[in-house]
Amino acid sequence: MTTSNNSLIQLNNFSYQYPHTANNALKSINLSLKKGSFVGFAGPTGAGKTTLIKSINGIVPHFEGGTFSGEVLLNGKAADTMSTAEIGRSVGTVLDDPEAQIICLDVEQELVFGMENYGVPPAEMEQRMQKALASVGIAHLLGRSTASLSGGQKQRLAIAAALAMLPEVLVLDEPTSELDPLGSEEVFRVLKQLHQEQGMTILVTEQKTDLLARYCDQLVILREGEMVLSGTPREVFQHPDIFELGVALPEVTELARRYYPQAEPPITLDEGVQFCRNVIQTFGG
Amino acid sequence: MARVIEYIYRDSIIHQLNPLSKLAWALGVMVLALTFNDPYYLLALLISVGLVGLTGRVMKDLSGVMKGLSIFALILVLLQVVFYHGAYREAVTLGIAMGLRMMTVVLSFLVFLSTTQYKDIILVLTEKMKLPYDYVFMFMTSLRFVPTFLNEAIQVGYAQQVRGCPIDSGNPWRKMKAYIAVALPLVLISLKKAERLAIAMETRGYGSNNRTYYKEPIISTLDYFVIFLVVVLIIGAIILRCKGLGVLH
Ligand SMILES: Nc1ncnc2c1ncn2[C@@H]1O[C@H](COP(=O)(O)OP(=O)(O)OP(=O)(O)O)[C@@H](O)[C@H]1O
Ligand SMILES: [Mg+2]
Repeated sequence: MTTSNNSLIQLNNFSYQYPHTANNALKSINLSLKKGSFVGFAGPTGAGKTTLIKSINGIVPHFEGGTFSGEVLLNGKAADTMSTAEIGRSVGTVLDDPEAQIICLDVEQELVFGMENYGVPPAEMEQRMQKALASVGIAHLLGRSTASLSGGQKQRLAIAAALAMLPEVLVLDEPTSELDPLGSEEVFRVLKQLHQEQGMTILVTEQKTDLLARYCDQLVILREGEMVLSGTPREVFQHPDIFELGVALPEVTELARRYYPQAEPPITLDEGVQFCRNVIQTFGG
Repeated sequence: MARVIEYIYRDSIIHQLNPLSKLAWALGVMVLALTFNDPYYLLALLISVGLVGLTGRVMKDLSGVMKGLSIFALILVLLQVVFYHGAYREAVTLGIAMGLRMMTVVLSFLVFLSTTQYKDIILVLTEKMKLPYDYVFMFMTSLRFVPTFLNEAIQVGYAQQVRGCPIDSGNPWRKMKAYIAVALPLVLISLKKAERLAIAMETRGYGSNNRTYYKEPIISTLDYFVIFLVVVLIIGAIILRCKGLGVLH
């Protein structure tokens, strides 16, 4: 309620402690995200990435309990004054395990589940369903049973199910952790497309930092519940301290920084190729 | 075993029936099975249920379960014979009646569950029967997890065996201890699963109060006929029973 600006999501000095634990899982987080951002969160295991995502969709503190201080604001409204279901109207959630978040037996019912809960008029559902499926490129799967889908298809269905509720922001917790490289790329391409074509705000945690480097506009590094770095992927991966933070760098970045510490490191494969060319030319010339 | 209570997609007249009339049928069968204890009456009832299953084209898928059930029924008969204080003949008849009754009731519900989509069952129970949505959903979800649960039981079993847990050893005491070792991780896994599912449901608005429904199954003339038939049969059964038919003493 303090500074009313145009942030979609704002965390002011937010700290949170799970019940029956000794330490804060999140420590004084200050974060302000505008509509239309594509933000990645990375950090070693136990850093608090999942907890941060859960604080935004209301699972923390409503579902988990525990104690918090500071505030999480969604469109300027304090999240702890809203129920999880209420938050779900504007925040769509995708979890890491495709098995655990598919609720219904067939694709159609899975998409309709959220809309029914929110009282969407039945006449409107059909069209929203088609659009959501098309957005993630699985329009042909309507009518299939959810058990028969591959992991990547299940994750895209989970995204579509969230989209059908017309959220303002999509939060995803390691959406590719159960997927192979192809499936992971598939999911991120869908996210990028949603971001570019529909201006969707996207918050995603991810271990595979090369994906974050290529797709995100902003990258936040967490460690032991603290926000330790934030900026564009380039700023973050080129930061002098990044090696100490326990984050796996994209392979090209890691190699370049190891062997040519003084040069500006590449962060994507394409840049890596260019980087190698330059190196060869420098040595050749 | 994996598809005990799953919806089996087939194109049949039974599948097209309204869930409400199928539920009425299954409950009707249960009432009839409880009304009589004459094995001939019960056998006729079981055969009629089997015919409905055949019409629904799901009997083949249910044959595995039925085999298991008949073994169970056989055990029921044997138990009766061993523990019944009375004439041997009486005990056998009573045991057979119990076995048939159990098979009939279970089969009718299996036919109902395998020919009806679970979302339709939820719809009918909440909208038509006015049962609370929360309980209905939880019940149906737990049913849904049965196959996953069985799969996991097998996997956990393997995991324990690999670690030298003697599930298949002859000694019953050791065997029981081994099963507890399997059950414990299973309970933990399923608790974790249930929690995650609950989270997924909450983030998608489960528990908001102004629900709508996408499609409501229609009630056709055939449905009215089925419901009418069930009512007539139940009344008929009660009349027969009052006259002392179909009941052994
Ligand atoms: N339900 C819980 N109850 C108690 N403590 C928890 C709970 N969930 C997480 N924690 C603790 O909170 C801290 C942050 O956990 P969190 O799951 O947010 O980390 P993470 O960055 O998502 O890790 P990972 O990369 O392994 O997913 C950890 O110390 C963890 O042990
Ligand atoms: Mg996590």
